Amino acid sequence: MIRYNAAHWDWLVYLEMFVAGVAAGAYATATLLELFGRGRSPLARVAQLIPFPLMVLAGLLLTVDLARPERFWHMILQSETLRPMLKPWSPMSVGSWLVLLFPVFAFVSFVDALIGRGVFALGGWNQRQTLHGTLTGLLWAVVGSLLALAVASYSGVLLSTTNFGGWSDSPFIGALYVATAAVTGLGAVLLIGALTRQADAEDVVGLLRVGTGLICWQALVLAVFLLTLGLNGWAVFLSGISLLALLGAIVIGIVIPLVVRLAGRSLQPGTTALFAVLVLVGGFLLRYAIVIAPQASARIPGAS
Amino acid sequence: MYAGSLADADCIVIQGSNMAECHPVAFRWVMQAKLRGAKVIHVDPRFTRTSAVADIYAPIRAGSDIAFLGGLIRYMIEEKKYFHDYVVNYTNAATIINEEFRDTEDNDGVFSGLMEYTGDPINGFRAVYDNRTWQYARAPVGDQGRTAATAQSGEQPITSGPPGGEQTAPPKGPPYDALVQGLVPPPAQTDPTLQHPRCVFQIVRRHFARYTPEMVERVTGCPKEIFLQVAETLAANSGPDRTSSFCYAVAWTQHTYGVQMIGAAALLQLLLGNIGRPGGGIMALRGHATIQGSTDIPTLYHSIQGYMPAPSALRPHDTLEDYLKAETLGTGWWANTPKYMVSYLKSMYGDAATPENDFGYDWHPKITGDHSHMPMMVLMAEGKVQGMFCMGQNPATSLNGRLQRLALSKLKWLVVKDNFETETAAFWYASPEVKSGEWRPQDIQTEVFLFPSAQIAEMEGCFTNTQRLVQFHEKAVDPPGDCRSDAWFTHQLALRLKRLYANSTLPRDQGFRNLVWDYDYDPGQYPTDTRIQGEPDLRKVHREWQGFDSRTKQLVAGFTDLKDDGSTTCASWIYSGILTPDGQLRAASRQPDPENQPGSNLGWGFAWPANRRILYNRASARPDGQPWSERKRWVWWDAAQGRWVGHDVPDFPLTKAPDTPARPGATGLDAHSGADPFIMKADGKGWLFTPTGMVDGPLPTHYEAAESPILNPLYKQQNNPVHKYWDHPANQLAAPGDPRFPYVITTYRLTEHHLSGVMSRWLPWLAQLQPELFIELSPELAKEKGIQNLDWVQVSTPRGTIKAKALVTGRLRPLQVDGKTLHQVGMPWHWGYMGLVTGEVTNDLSALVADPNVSIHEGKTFVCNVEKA
Amino acid sequence: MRLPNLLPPLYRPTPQQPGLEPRPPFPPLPATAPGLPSAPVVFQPGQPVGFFTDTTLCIGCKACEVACNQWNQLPAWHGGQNTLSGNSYDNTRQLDGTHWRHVKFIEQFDGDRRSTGRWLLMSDVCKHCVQAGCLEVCPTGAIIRTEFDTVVIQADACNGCRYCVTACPFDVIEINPVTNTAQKCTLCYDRLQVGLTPACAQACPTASIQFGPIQELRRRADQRVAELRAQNVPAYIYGDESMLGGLNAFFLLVDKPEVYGLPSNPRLPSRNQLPSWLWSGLSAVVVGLIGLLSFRKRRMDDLAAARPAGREQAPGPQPGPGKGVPQ
Ligand SMILES: Nc1nc2c(c(=O)[nH]1)N[C@H]1C(S)=C(S)[C@@H](COP(=O)(O)OP(=O)(O)OC[C@H]3O[C@@H](n4cnc5c(=O)[nH]c(N)nc54)[C@H](O)[C@@H]3O)O[C@H]1N2
Ligand SMILES: Nc1nc2c(c(=O)[nH]1)N[C@H]1C(S)=C(S)[C@@H](COP(=O)(O)OP(=O)(O)OC[C@H]3O[C@@H](n4cnc5c(=O)[nH]c(N)nc54)[C@H](O)[C@@H]3O)O[C@H]1N2
Ligand code: SF4
Ligand code: SF4
Ligand code: SF4
Ligand code: SF4
Ligand code: SF4
Ligand SMILES: [Mo]
Repeated sequence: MIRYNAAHWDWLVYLEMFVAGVAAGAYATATLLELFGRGRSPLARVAQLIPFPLMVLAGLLLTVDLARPERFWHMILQSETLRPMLKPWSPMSVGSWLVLLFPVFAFVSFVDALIGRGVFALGGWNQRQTLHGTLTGLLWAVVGSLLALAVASYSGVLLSTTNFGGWSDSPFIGALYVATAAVTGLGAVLLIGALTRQADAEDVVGLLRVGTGLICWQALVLAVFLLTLGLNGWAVFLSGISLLALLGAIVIGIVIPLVVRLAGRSLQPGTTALFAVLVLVGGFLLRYAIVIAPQASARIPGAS
Repeated sequence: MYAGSLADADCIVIQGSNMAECHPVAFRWVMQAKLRGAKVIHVDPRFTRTSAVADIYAPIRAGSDIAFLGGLIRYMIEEKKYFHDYVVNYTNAATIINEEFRDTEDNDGVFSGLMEYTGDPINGFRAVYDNRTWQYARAPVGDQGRTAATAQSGEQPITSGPPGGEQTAPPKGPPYDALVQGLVPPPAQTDPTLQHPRCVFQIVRRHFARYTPEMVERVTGCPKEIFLQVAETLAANSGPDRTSSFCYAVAWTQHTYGVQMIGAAALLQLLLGNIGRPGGGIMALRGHATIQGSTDIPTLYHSIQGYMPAPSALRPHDTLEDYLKAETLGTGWWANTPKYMVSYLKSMYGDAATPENDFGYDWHPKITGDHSHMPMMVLMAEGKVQGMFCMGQNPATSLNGRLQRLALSKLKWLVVKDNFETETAAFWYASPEVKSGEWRPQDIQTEVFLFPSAQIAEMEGCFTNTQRLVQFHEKAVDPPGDCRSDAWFTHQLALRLKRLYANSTLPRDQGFRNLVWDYDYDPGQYPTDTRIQGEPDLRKVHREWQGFDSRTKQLVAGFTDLKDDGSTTCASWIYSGILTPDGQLRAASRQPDPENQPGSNLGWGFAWPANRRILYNRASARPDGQPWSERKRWVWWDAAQGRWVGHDVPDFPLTKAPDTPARPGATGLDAHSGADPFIMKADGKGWLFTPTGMVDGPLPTHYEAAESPILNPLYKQQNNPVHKYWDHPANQLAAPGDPRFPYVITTYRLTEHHLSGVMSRWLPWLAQLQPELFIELSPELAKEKGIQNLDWVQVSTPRGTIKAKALVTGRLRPLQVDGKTLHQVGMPWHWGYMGLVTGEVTNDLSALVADPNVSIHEGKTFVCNVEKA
Repeated sequence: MRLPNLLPPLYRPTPQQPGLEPRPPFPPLPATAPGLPSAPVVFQPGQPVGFFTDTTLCIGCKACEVACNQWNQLPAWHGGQNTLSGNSYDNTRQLDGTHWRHVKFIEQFDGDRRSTGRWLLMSDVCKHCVQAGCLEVCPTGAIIRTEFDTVVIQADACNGCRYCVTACPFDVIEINPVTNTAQKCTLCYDRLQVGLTPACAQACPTASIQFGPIQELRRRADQRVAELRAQNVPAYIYGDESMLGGLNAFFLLVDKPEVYGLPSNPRLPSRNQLPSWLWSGLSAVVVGLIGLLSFRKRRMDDLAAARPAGREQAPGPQPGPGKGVPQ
């Protein structure tokens, strides 16, 4: 069955999904570093600066994408009664709350990182007394990371929970989104690290190792996703612009980074940066491919 | 018949109309019948939205309907499927025809009496018939019917008159009883066994003998088996307890032999006993809102009111007496003609109309020929017409648009009163001729006045719809700005003209001076809830229809009260009865029958005459007055009450018993027996054979259209010998079989648009539904011509060439006609160069050729060529 | 001449003519032939109402489309300046934010037209699903189920996220460019509230669109199907209770759903939701593990390593202020 009506989920949307993914991944990475960085990982402190601004950007993108942006808050409050608006069975409703809550955590970590750098202080909360390294800080970061991964998942779940052929043909978009978020987030951290030269070697080595694992996982999930699509789904994804984007994502985001890893065990910031950029670009292409595929043609294939 | 009665039909043949698309609301009753198990048949060149819901679809070559109907007639006779008792008792089947009559069958396709035409060419004739030989056999030969009031020929070689012509003139009236008595003919010879070789039944049998199923297939292109399926279904659903109806519209009228097509259907329905009975009859689906009304109280030039011919300079109408002699029938209902005519003259000239001055008859305008639309436009094109009022019409897009626009450009002044700036109002700066540079606006001298018109909801008034049902509608709101109703416009125009002529002493102006025009509201009566001033009091117009005592002004009860001595006044006898005695307007009544009982709904509106729904409904009962069957009970004789009763207003003298014998020599209905249902006819019979009224022959005969790709397979005579044609450089025709124009083209409507489109192309909601002009053609033709769907196509005829988008569809199909493959194309004609969505004018392709009886154009069949643009 | 004015200013309906017998009922019609329902529909709030669209009665007149546009004041394509679609007589093309009724024209003609062929006409509309995908996903609660068991989008609550557009199995919803909110057939909620028949059903000349209480409509529909089957027309109901709990706007069709552009097996978007969350969760866990494991591996290496250069050892994370990073 052919569909005529498009959702018009365009660049605002896949850009948002990418940005939010990066934010989520970066937060998780920061937490990871904090866990094992024994509270002294300079890279962790840098990583904590990334998520919040990105989430603000993501929120803006989502709002602007609405046909009635001034009503963005209807997602959270019922416009008549002003009671909270939450539909656990609607991924977008859940997602809206996640996109609201996660930044709270990201914000605190962001502020903490700034205070840690002595940019400013809030009374007792000063350069000597940061959350970083404390148990509270750790718990905070862990909970925040869980929210982060949820943020990474929901948009994928949302796409599967539709009647657009392609999206609704596989329940693995969410899983894929998580993997991509993790990879791209980690990539972002590495990149910043490389650019600001504030990463000590071991962190970088560790992250690269993690990155390699995540890339493999992402490759695996992507494979499962593609395999489970079925005829209708293949028709949607393995054609035209989305096929190109997919190939691009696989080559740039998966194959080359792995090669780079295996080849250059050496640690020039250059290779690290290259690795980071590759996975970021790959991640973006993947988001693009998935969001655009069913909408690429004027006539959208209906759910099979 | 009336549309609601279709619900009672067991079979409905829709031929000559795309009823579902053009009469969707009336089509409700067809669906009602279908749901009750009736069979619906659609005969059409195209598979349309009507065909989509029909049980049988029969493809047919445009213009070949008489062959198809002739085939059905032959089938019913040869297969003995006709309704014998009905035919013998209620039709003129038994009547014997004058021996000099020569039928087309033994006369190369023309009837006896054909002669060259020598009159004014503007009437469009090249030949005419002398119908003397078509008359009933009686000594001496006389005239049986009257000239059909719709005969627009403008001329009639044979005039009605007393039997044997010469006779000592009866004394001048009023009263005119003696005059009427003098018109009574001797009875015609008959043979109830239907065996006499010259009896109508035998003549009809012989006439249609050659219309065999094989011939039908050869001429119409309709596969034999489908034709037979139609014939069997129709026969199986006609008879004492089953009835079938025909529905037609302009796909039967818009031919050079259109009236004969309808005649053929009437003949067939009489044979099957389907006239005057519930679910039977012929549904004439009329067009414009109240176009029926405009023929009842006519805007037509040739008829004054109630279907009485307009006094004519070309007929013996010199004095009122002459007129009455010529137009009255001694027997049958029309013996009342003097009463209606005199009452009409009283309504025209009021107290000034006296017996001494023939009730002002001499003041009444007389026509001098065919003044209908096409000849008028031809004269206009020749610069012989100064000005024109165009109210509710858009001729710039109508038949042979180029010629009509040329005509407009020759006017000195043109008044267009419309809701929008139509193609007609804008021709001088927006027409194709101007766009192509052929004309320059500054060279066109026509001064155009555009008056904004009120719309339907902004005026009150009556509509008469296709079933003679008059319905009053109230006004919802005042029209905006300067928009005014047509009644206002006409009334104000009349008042001003009256003032202009008030002091004229010229004899020719006396008629207009004496014309009664008193429709102003009485003091204190004018409605207070409106901004608009100067509307006429429509209730006074209704009174004129109803009729009243010329002195006391008391309303008459109905047209039976009208007198021929001037003591009564009535503008239109057929509308008399529209007011109740206490002055209530029946047309405003809204009382339907109970649910799912279409019934006669006598409480809903007013159907002329006398609120009667089915005409000739006495035929719904056997000669003895009892219903033909329980199922089809409608009107019957109640011996106990000694009167006719039923669901409808009986179309018969209420207390005239079925066994009442005819009184030979008597006038009016006394000349008919109690078993003669067709009271308007001189002999009280339904006419299978029409001695008078048809100027192109007493029986339908298949001719080819004025333009046809083939030669007439049936007769040597190619087309209707007396059809009308106006010779003009812009109105040339293609010769039969002209290879340059190999395809048959027909034109029609779409549900989504209205006529020239002014009421739909200006409306976004409608415009979006059918935004562009298209031409429908079959995949086969498209392939042959290398045309793809939506390609631009050039369509050309000897009159012009236009462009349209191709709509390639299996709904059109090539036909096998006379051994050859014949392609038909079709175009809607709703587009023009003004409005929200525009398109080229389909009518730039069509020609001015017409039916001789009613001067309607042949818009449904002509030839063209089609090329990829 | 002056007339005594016999006419009262307002016309009163006149009673039936005297002397006429009220018409007796028609001879009993075959039980399968109910005729067109013509009595005004009676219904109350709390009672499910909807449409039975009998496509075999449709004459494609589009009165329903126009009536809907008019009543709901929906703008025409490009202010009416539309283009010819070339797809039979269908130029409005689809259901969307400004076309809440849409008449489909499906031409079925074989090459030689021997089997005469068909022109299927169908007036499509929102199905007012008992289990409505659009309603399910709407994050703002703009889409509600009314007291008439119909599905309505509240234009004042919708913020135009377009999730419903992707969720409807029947491709019904789109953003209305004028209001910039998602819109579709409201089943004339405003008319229902005052006891009026929906505009489209009111306008339908052939009763192809029949409005009324669902139960009554289903009864009528079954009867009609039986009737048509008896004439070996392959008629069936699209949208009975087995489909999404029942479509409150259901159809009588005579060919496969796909022929009419309808899904043969419409489903709720939520069918994928739980699996998606679960797989995402799994993915998250795996991601976490990969992180933890790789770093643990790193610590092992650290311990195993002999004198690492540059950094003193520390026994794992310790509370208290971390040493600031060297400036
Ligand atoms: N929606 C809509 N309704 C209308 C109108 C409108 O413009 N739009 N116009 C009104 C007016 S004024 C009128 S007069 C009526 C006209 O009502 P109709 O006569 O029903 O309308 P047409 O479309 O002119 O022609 C009907 C059919 O005739 C077929 N046809 C063409 N030639 C022949 C032929 O030779 N024989 C046979 N059997 N069929 C043929 C055409 O294919 C077409 O399908 O409609 C009225 N109703
Ligand atoms: N080729 C071809 N040509 C045909 C036909 C065909 O089938 N084929 N059909 C023929 C037939 S049957 C007909 S009836 C004619 C129709 O041809 P026309 O009558 O010339 O065309 P209409 O569009 O009906 O013009 C009616 C005009 O009246 C205006 N109008 C509407 N209401 C009012 C009102 O209350 N007052 C006033 N003053 N104006 C009003 C409308 O805006 C419109 O401009 O076309 C004929 N031409
Ligand atoms: S347009 Fe008017 S006249 Fe024509 S079918 Fe509709 S309601 Fe009847
Ligand atoms: S058809 Fe689509 S829009 Fe209508 S109720 Fe069902 S899901 Fe919602
Ligand atoms: S677009 Fe409006 S109605 Fe549709 S889901 Fe979003 S908020 Fe609800
Ligand atoms: S019910 Fe009302 S809103 Fe829905 S299609 Fe009919 S008219 Fe339009
Ligand atoms: S109004 Fe009725 S008949 Fe006309 S298109 Fe709509 S559903 Fe069909
Ligand atoms: Mo007409």
